[in-house]
Amino acid sequence: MPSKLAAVALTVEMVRRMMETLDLDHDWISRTELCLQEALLNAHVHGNRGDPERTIYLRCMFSADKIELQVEDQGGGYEPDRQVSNIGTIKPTGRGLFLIRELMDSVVVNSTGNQIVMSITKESKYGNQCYAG
Amino acid sequence: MEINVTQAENHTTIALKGRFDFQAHQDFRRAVDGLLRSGKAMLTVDLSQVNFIDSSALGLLLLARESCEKAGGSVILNQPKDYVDKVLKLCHFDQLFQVQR
Repeated sequence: MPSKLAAVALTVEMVRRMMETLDLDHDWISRTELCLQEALLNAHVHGNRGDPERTIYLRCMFSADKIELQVEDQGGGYEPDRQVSNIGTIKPTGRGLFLIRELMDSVVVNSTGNQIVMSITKESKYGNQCYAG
Repeated sequence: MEINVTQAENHTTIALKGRFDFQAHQDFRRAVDGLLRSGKAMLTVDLSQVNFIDSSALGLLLLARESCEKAGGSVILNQPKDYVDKVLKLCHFDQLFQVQR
C-alpha cells in the first residue's frame, strides 16, 4: 500500500470488514483494528517519514485460532523501547507501540526496526474478556 | 467523526461521535482552539458515542488538557464506552483526567 494517511484509513477499514465477514471474535476484531492502525501509522510517520513515494507492506493471516499481522516499512527503523517510555507521562505521543504490546499476545520487531509481526491466539492472555464497544 | 459543541454559562461540552483517531486531528484542534480564543477553558469531552480511539486521539486529549489548564480551566472525559474506557485505562488516562463514568 502507498504510504499515505488515506491509505492507512482505507486499509484498516478493509481489514476490519474482512474480519467481520469471517465472523471472527468481536474482541479480536477490536484489538486487531486498533493495533493494525497503530502499526500502519508508525510505519508511515516514523518509518517512511510521511513520504508518499514509499510503500508499506502488510501481510494478514486469519484463522479461527489465530490472527497474525506483519507490517513493514521502508525506513531505517527505530528503537522500540523508546516509544514505550512515555506511558504515564503527559507527552502527547509515543503510545502506539505500547498499545500494541498491551493488546496483542505476541509482538516481534525485527533487528532493524522496520518490521513488526503481531498476533492474537486462542490461548489469549485476555481470556474471554470482551473489549468490543 | 462528528463534533457537536454546546456551551453553558461557564462550561463547554464537545460531543464526539464515531471514530476518534488521527483523521479527527484538525476538526478537534479547531474546536478546542476556538473555545480557548473565546475564553472557554472549562471543557467536557463527551465520549459516549465514540466507538474507536487511537493513540493520536489520546495525544489530542493531552494537548487539549494542557491548553485548557494553561488558560485556568480543565478537561473532563465523559462516559467513555467499554472499549474506549479500556484504552484510556491502559494508558493511565484515568490518572491524568477526571473521567465521569
